[in-house]
Amino acid sequence: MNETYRKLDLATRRAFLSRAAQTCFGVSMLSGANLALGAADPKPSTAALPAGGKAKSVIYLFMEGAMSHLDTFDLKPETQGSDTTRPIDTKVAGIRIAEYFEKLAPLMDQVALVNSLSTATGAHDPGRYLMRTSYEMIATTRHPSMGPWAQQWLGKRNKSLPDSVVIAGGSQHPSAGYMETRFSPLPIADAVEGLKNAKSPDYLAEKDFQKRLSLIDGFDKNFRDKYNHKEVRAYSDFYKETVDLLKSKDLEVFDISKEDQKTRDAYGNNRFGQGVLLARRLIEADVRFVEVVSGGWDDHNQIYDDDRLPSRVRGIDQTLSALIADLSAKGLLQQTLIVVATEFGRTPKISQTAGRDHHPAAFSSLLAGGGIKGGQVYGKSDKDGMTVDSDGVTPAGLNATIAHALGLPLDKEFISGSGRPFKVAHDGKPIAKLF
Amino acid sequence: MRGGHSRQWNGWVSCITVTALVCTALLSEPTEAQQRRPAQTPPKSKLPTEVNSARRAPVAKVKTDALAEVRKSAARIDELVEANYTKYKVEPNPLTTDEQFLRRIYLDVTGTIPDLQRTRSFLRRTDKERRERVIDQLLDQEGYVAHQYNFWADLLRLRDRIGRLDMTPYQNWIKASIRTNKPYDVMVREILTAEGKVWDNPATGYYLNDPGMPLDNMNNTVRIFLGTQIGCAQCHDHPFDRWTQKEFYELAAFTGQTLTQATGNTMRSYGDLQRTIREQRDSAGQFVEIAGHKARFNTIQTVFQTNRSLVTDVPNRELRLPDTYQYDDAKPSSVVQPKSLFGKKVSAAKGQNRREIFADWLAAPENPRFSRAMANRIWKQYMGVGLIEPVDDIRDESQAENEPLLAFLEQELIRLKFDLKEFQRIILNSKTYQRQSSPIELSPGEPYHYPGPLLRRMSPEQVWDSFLTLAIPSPDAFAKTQDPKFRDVIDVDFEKAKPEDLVKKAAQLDDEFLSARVRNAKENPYKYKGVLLARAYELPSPLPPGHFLREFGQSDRELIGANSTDGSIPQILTMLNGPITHMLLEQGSVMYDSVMREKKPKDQLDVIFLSILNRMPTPQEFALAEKEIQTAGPRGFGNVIWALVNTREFLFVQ
Repeated sequence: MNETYRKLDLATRRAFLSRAAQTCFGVSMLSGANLALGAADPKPSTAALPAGGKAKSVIYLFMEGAMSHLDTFDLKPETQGSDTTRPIDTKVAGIRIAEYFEKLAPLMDQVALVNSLSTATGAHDPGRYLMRTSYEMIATTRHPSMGPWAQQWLGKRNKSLPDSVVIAGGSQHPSAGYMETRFSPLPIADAVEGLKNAKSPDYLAEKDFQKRLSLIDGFDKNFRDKYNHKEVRAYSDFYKETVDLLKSKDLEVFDISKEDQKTRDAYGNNRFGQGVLLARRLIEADVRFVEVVSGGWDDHNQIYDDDRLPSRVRGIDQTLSALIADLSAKGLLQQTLIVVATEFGRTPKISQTAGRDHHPAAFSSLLAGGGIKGGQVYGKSDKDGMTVDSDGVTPAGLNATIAHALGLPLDKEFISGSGRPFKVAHDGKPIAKLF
Repeated sequence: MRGGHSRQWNGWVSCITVTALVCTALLSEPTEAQQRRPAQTPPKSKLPTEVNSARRAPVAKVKTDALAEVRKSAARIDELVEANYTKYKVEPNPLTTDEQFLRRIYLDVTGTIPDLQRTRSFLRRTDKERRERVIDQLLDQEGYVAHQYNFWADLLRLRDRIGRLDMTPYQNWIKASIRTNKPYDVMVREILTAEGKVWDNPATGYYLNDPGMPLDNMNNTVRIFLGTQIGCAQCHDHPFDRWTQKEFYELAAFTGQTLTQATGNTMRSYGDLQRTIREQRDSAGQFVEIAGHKARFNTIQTVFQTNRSLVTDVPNRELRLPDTYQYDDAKPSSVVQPKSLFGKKVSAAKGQNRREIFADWLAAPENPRFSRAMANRIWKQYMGVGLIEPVDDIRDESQAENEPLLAFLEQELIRLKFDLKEFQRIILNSKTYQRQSSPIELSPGEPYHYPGPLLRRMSPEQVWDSFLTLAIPSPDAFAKTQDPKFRDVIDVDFEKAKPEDLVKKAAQLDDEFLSARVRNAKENPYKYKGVLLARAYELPSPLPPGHFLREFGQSDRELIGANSTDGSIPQILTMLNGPITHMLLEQGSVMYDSVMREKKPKDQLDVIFLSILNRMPTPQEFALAEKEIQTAGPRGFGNVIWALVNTREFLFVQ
């Protein structure tokens, strides 16, 4: 909480920022690639930007720990040799992805890949933060993630449910940042358990519950009057939000046991698979932005032993293809944007411990649905997958693409409590070719 | 108080329905018998009571003869802080009342609110030294170990398991270091120079926590112990600070010969054994059977990985710059020699133990950031905001809010030979610490001149441990231990072992240590509705998402200092409807029994306020509570208790 009480003055911080933006992207410049300066993309694409706004919801899948681009969407068989991951053909001629994506390959025409991402940092926490917020992690403020931005500009889609939800996220999610508490994504720890403790104890009648709430108010008044702090107020807001949520008739969307077993199996009987299934239920109930986190991607050691990395990627293959098929069948794919993101890539060279280390200079992402034109690969890394060769995209650029798909105003400023102006996606440029 | 009270408790939380649910599952006595029993000695619901804390060693005591020094140093802190009141025209907050002080000191030193008896006994005291005495008394308790451990667990990302390696010995070593009040520099030195397997030298856990990631580990080391961020320089020259990539590598060269895995012949034998074991896997891949011994393949892998994990130095190994190195001052892939980052210039000649030299440089009074970083972290722990923020991003140009104060704190740490307990004792005895929390809200970036500590939400562990204090009579009972026999069973010398030895060991491990049966036998007596009721520092780590502590922001132990004190809807739901809150309302809970012991409603209400908020009710609050009891009858007590733990006042440390 005291993250906010940081003491560098604004001007110093701004100076840092602009320097950071320039130098940090030096990461990707080690090859001399024509990459971004600042958070914005290098040369705004000259192609006109087709209209966005087709996506009513986003399912954002975050691979925490940093997913290897070389073992998923950006394979380099010529330089990687045969004892790493092999590519397979997909439905779209010329696009090849990792052999583990047997189910996704036939759906390639509905999916777009971005193989030219790069980022400013090779450390996990700042990397995740930058991906989720488009801003560098700094001490004087906390920036909001994309869900709160969408709610800020578009309002809530479902009045009685939170507008955004994070499933299986860690304790460090940037959440609503400097925006008010009511913009915070609802964290769901475990999809199978859904929204825990949503039911009052059996002995407690509704009117007793109300009475208890008013007792809290009575006992707490002195304290709240004395300490009129943001954090204290935030708690009061959360109590209100919680009580509102408990009254919602849509509460049961959090219960994935309402799905038939066949569907549950199709998504994969694991944390991530069930999380994505819950995400689908939520967007059906008009929750706008659902993030599902998949952990364990920090593959430093023995990645091919015991099928470690391959089995994890196969798990993603199953869940992702099930989601695309399911949304198609329900006619929701065109209004639901699916994104696969991660904090950075992994080194082309296999390390001494038979793993891959952190690599911010090139990595991949996947987008589908929500007005995205499938069957294409945007951007290119060099022959080793070391750096970006063409059409570089920054985290801000990826977020701008998401924002554009949702129809958010990219230039509109939001003034934070400390009087500073911010924009969704931090002046990143949407990838026009994807629309 | 027979019949009437019996009804009273039934009405309170409809206890029969609630406890009946619990009782059928956990009580040995039949539920009907319970209902028939008179309420005079209310039937205990099965809240844990067993005590086995005897296994913990005694806690090192404060230096009783140092009191005069403590007073002097505390006064010096106040003087330095007050200089800034004058300079910045700040009005200091009034001193805390005894009620406020008591609650805060218990939370800050032992990690929990005080129980009813301790609250009463302190509030009755009138002697002038009562605050000094209670500070000393608390610093001498196991609660001090618990609370300090939680701080370290967040900082060092302490986890029960790294892959398949059981890290309990390392965790217990940290606890023991706190318990014996090992000087901080000695502890760090032991961490940085440790070698061997984790059960032979538990301090190796620090390196084993980042297996195969020496660069990340170095980055963490500098961040944790020197409060400095050099991580950016791992890939390129640091964009905001002065560190170059070469400097990063030179520093990393101190641990560049250090591996977290066995080498040489040991690993060759390991490979041979692995091959045999894999060949002997059954068709489903589940079991291995050799020479009449049968065990789970996965458990055998635990034996393999556990014994492969150790910290060792390979003298002829050299760290090289990356092959993509882009600057002119060195060639890509060239060998890097160890060199210190700042302060005293040290390097290492051939044949010298590099980690010894590194530890001597890092954990030294002369290191300009070693004592500074720790003094600043501890100051933040008690005052809510560091003199330099962020506490782990100190730079050359960083300006402390009060440089003379920070300099004094550093000197004190050095004077005390890094005795953290005495150091904290000084801060706790300062007027600055004992002032009331600031009623004003600090804007981001606004400097804070310490008119008193900042208002803070309790840490996740403080919330949890406070609930335990309210609920169970002996919250310290459960200790996370590792049977010393575990080591004997799992330890293998790969060069001497035969494949069937490994199978035999794995079978024995499953049978005696790892099975759910064994774990349940140990934990079940301390469980309530399936939740292990042990103090936070004895619980598994990381806890599964959705656990009470995780809902309240406990770190998933992936990142340094990732505990959070933010609110969330699931957190409020936990408070409103979760089992932990309702535990207080059940027969057998400390809260319930304390109220029960009183006969008059007035005393009962006082007990409730003293237990939960550690203060007497105001007349208005008393009137509100009394009205609730009058209208709702006995169940009003339950409503009052439930409402009080749901107040912001309960959750925040004033």
